[in-house]
Amino acid sequence: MGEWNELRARLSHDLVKNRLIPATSRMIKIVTGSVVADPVEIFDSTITVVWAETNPSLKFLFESCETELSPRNYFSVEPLIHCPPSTLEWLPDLIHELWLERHDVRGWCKAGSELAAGVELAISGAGNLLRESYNADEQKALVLDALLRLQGTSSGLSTHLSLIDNRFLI
Amino acid sequence: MLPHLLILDDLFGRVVPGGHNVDRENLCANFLWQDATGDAEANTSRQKILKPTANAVFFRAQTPVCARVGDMVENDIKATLKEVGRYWIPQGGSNASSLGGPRWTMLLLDLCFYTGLVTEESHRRTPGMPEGRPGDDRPDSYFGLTLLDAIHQAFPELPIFILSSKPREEVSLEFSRRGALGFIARDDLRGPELLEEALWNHGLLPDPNEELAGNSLPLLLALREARRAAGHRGNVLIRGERGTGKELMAHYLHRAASRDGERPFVPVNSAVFTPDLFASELFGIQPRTATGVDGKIGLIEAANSGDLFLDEIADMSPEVQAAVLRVLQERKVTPVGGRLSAPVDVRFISATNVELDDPALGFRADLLDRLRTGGSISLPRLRERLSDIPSLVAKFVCEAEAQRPGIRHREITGEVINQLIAYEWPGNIRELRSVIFDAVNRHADVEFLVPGHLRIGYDRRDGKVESQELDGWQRNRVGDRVTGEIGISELLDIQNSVKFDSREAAHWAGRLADLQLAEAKLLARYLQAALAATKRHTPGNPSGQLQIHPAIKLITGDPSITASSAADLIKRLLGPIESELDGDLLEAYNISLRLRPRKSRLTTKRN
Repeated sequence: MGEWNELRARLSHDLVKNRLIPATSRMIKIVTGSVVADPVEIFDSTITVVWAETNPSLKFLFESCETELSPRNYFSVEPLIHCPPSTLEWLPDLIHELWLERHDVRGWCKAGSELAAGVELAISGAGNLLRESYNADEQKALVLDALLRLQGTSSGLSTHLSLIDNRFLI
Repeated sequence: MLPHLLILDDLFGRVVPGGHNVDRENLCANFLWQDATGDAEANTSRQKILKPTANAVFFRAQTPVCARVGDMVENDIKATLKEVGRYWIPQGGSNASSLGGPRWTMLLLDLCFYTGLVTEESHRRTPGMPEGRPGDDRPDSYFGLTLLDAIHQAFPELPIFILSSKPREEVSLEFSRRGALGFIARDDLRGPELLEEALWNHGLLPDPNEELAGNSLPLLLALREARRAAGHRGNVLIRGERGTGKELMAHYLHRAASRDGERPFVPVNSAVFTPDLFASELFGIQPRTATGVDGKIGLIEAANSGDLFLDEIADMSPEVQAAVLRVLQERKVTPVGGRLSAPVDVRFISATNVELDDPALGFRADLLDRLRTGGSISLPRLRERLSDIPSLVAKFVCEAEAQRPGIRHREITGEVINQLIAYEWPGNIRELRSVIFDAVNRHADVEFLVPGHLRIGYDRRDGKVESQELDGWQRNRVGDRVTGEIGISELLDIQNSVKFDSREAAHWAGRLADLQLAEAKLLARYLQAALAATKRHTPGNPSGQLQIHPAIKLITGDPSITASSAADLIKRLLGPIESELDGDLLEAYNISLRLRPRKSRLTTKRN
């Protein structure tokens, strides 16, 4: 549980809040003309790099959430490991089901995966548009639109990762 | 001048060995900051901010700044305090190194600073960052809060905001308790707007129009008070000695309040309100078609939805005080001759150079309370903001040169600045302006402003006339200033060129007695100089014996004038200010009375 939560905190704080969101804001400033820089170079060296590190970890985070955080795990360590075998046959599963139901853990994981997929889609969309014909005004508008979408989904992902703090960490 | 920000942050302050600090570049682009750190990161930035909103200086607050794998990163309070002090001029500071330099507008402080060993893994994740030690990211032991304590203690007036990606609620009580003014979440998409608002309300921002030129702490604190007051419609009282710029401050406050659009600003000198005229001036006159009386909009109505600036409110008569109080209570005005009152939305900005709380002045306490519901702003004296003298001198030199087309542009020498900051400036900025204009006007064909061009009175250190710096013109002391033949010519030029515009009666009406008194005092000082210049010095009387006859011959230029006529002239000159005489003038007046006694009274004045 400790390691899972450390990973979650690092993804939320270091990668999404401190890297992905600021890099997206920077790209928006470049595309809107407030900042002069090579948009493709900056996109590739910031957003693409950060996402390549973040995305696999996010997948693992959401997929392993149920097994890593379940209160069922308490029955395999002291002191609950000493429960009678007959109790261990049914109580851990019951506790697990109640935990899932009460905190909507699967709902949280599903929503997180969808947000991550949204970020992935927005990044690939913005990247493709940038590489195609960025200099055309119409194309710039499309890139900006894609970046704003990315900003929105990244922000949503950041909030989602923070939501866990007061929820199903028992 | 762009705001000058200091950002204390391990992530943004670090230098990445052989690469780019992408995090710093991202932040600068997002907030539109120009990286003014001057380190390798700033010098190799891959972007250019077209219209920067601030100059940002980043500092890691740790050593080493550029950490490699195997390095141990440690927090460094001492180096951080030194960095903060680099651009901080203390209150009253005026040493040469601190003059004219930038000053931190605000400090942005991170909370969590990671320390320990830079490992292959930590370096791979974030170049130059260490693994971190237990406690680094615990809210109760954040190094940022320790720094906040130390900086706030050493630089209590420096505005500090927290800029962090950590949850605000973890530290909301602690950061306030330790002196930070607010918190901006690093991932908040409104970050740039939130910072702009924070700078406006809390930052030490100079006047962008430079009407109140300067960068000294007392001035910047006063400007901040004005911006804060501009955020509401409460009445504001501006206090300050003569010549400190009270009306300019009222203008600044008004401009700050008009960010969302133009509003009227109506300046009024309270002294002009005679008991007969004040009602029609303040409230206006109701037009009467039947009797042919023209209507007139009153000053309060003219300022509706904006600001009415009442200068010199200590000069308000009791009748005017009562009338203004009524308006403040009711928020309505009724024109003279009218029956219906109209609601008004006017903010009163008042100014005074006296302590109105003093009961001896007779100013109504209930009115005073209502005139400062939105707070009061104290303007510093010039001697409290000596570090502003270089920028003020530069401004006044430019203004004076602009009034003389074709005149040479001059540089200001360091000796001039040193001489100016050594003076007390009892007349504050107005006096400094006069000195600079005088110097420029008398020396048109020069490339440098040097001490010999200045006519200032005393050396503040010992109260003596600085004769070595006043070469080239006749020296006579008259009151607080020194003047001579050239000064008299200029004085006459000024007096002869002053005009009173009939359309601006509100500014000069009711001041005849003041003008007469000022003229009498001027002539008395003129006579005093002549009395001093014609004293007879003998070994038995080294301080000199007063001689009224030679003194009058000197100032009239008439060698044939009789002693009786001289005594009559002295009586005429000094009679209007008889009660204020002392020293040589009192002695000369008594001598004259002895020579030419008053018809109705043979005794002399006090002896």
